[in-house]
Amino acid sequence: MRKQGLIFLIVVAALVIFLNSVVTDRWLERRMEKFGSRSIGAKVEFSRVNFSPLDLSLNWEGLKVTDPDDTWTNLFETGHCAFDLALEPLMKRKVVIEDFDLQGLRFGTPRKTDGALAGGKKQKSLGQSKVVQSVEQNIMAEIERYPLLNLGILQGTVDVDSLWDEVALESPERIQALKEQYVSKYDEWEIRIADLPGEPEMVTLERDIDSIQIDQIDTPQEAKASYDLLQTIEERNRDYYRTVTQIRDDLIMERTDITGVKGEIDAWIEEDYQRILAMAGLPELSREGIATMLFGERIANRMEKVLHIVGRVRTYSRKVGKYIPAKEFPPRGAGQDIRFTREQDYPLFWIQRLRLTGETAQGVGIGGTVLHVVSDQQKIDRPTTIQLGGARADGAGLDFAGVIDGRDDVPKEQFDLTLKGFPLEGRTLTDFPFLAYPLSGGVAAVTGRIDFEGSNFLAELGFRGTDVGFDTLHRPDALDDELYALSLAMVRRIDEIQLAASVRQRGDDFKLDIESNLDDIVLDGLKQVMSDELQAVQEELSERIEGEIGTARSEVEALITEREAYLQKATWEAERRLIEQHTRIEQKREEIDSRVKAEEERIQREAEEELQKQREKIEDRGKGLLDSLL
Amino acid sequence: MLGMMLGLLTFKTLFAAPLFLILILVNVNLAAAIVGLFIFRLIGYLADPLLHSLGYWVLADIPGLKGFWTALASMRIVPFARFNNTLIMGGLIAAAVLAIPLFWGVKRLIIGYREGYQERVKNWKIIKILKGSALFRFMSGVEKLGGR
Repeated sequence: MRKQGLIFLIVVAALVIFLNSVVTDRWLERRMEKFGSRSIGAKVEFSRVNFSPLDLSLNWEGLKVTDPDDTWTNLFETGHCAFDLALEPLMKRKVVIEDFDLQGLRFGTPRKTDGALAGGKKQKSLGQSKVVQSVEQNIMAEIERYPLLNLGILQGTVDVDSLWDEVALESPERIQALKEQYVSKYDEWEIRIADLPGEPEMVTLERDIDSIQIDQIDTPQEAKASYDLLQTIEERNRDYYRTVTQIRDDLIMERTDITGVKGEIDAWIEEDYQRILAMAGLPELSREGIATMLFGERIANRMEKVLHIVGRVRTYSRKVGKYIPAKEFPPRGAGQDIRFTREQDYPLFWIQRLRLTGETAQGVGIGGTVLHVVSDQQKIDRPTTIQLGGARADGAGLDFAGVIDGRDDVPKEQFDLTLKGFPLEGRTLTDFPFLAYPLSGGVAAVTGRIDFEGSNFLAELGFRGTDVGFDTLHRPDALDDELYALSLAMVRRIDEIQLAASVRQRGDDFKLDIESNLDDIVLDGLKQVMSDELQAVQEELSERIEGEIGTARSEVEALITEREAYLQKATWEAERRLIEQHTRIEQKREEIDSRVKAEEERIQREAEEELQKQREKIEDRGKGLLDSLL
Repeated sequence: MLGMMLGLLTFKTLFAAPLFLILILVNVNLAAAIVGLFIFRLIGYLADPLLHSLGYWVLADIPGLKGFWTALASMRIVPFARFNNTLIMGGLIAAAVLAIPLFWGVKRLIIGYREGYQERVKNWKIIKILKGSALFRFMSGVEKLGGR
């Protein structure tokens, strides 16, 4: 045993104990800040972290988490937080917290310093959930169909020529690509059609059938040889027929796909048309689209925020919940951790009960409980549930409930939100110029529900504003005198606002419905002043699109018709001739049968005659013999 | 051999602790261990992708071993060895495979060197220069600390 080594170990142990007691808290604080900042992608700052290794308790006096998208604002900050770590799971490197007390939670607070990470380090993107992306895209596409109205149409200042110059039609390119695709497809078909049995094969078949001479079949051997030859010819004919019917069936299948092309081209043209109208702010004026035009963008923005959070939850759950991760390519020296945990074992991270108090950005004091914030719900077989509520001195209040359930293969999230008594004064409801006044009064109640199950999504939103007044002195710049007067007439009819919106996605089917009690008011107002100009502009644009695309469409349609007819004729002709040959083969077989039958009858007849002769001969001889004996 | 093992394994594993203890407490050639550590740390760095793949294969691609790894992960102290890290597992396997051949190889090399070349090499000018260098003095000091 080395004495120096022993002394060295004792010195190191003493040093560790000393440092642990003196600098653990600061060290831990820095580690937590570093880990948090790296995860969020912006500064995470703790203040006065205190860790007690004896009772495994941790607390801090403040936490600020910077919003990575706006580094001068905190995503949220907290006041005093305290929790105890359970010892047994900790021995297995699992963090289990029974009770987590979080006080002074506030959202969106301003920062005194920039919260961006030094050197512009950004969080490695976890990637957005595909389902969430799909819902977001569908919502945005729907909103774009009903842009804010181009006021120029009411003022007669829409210039179709300049509008047309800015247009980039997508249909011609798509139609051209389709045409090229079909040309190449039909070329392939022509190669296949060339494989069909043609004239030489038919001539050979006919010659072979004719080569069987019925009248030369005299013996059973000759009959058998004729049958064998006919059988060979029939098998060849059948092979040809199989080839033809296979090509015919494939062609029918292909034609089923091609039949939809015409509708597809029409849909592309319609898309182009709608896009141009949207770009120019000239939506089809219908009751259906009014509410979307008025509130669609704002609803979409809020929906996007919620979806973004759901997407984050899903992506993160998927990442941590994966048992064997796909092979990664970590930096040198880091390696990749593969998790192995027993089902009855603790999850890696589990806050059993999080009690929080705080305040929303609107100054509503909130409090509530979040149960089972966990890295793997399957391990504990419980979903994460959120129950929050709160109120403000002026009577405004909120209730929020949520369930995040990732226990099954199909993840489910459900959120319910109720807001009541929120004053509307000073807010604007829409960017639509006719109603874009700040509100002078009113109280709002909102109910919202989001139900996400796998790739199916349902969101419902209800809004009711009562005693609504508009501050019409703040005249929107976009309104000239005439339109301002129209706007005032609309506003005077509104003292209550009711809005119902729903977004549904089931598989590929997507539906966005927004309705409000303002729809008729706005539609009536617009129709009063809407000249025929809008219709004229729309017709003009429609004609120009048809002029631009019509030729290309006709070419594709002509190509399809012509090539289809050719292919159809070629297969039908081949099929018809093979059926003909089949009939001839059958006919030949019947002839051979008849010939064989006739020969059989002849032979039998001759045999019977011969037998009769022999019998008579024997009788005669017998009679002669008898006579001589007698 | 200890140097090789420490070189191929990272220090952030519990596997390193007993190796260090052996190094500190047992009379082994510290200088040789440190040189070995540096050489194999370099080799480990260069062979990182290979060790990572080897570790991933053993940990993730052999279903029959899943139960064994799960049992290890459920023990109290073993998870601190970070055996579930692909690089550590790869390094551990490489070190285990190389241990015996390396021991015999190095042993034969040293015996061969001492019998055939030591005297001649000692007289090389470059060796004399190196013996006078600070690095050599430091390594000699380490060797003396090791009790040799």
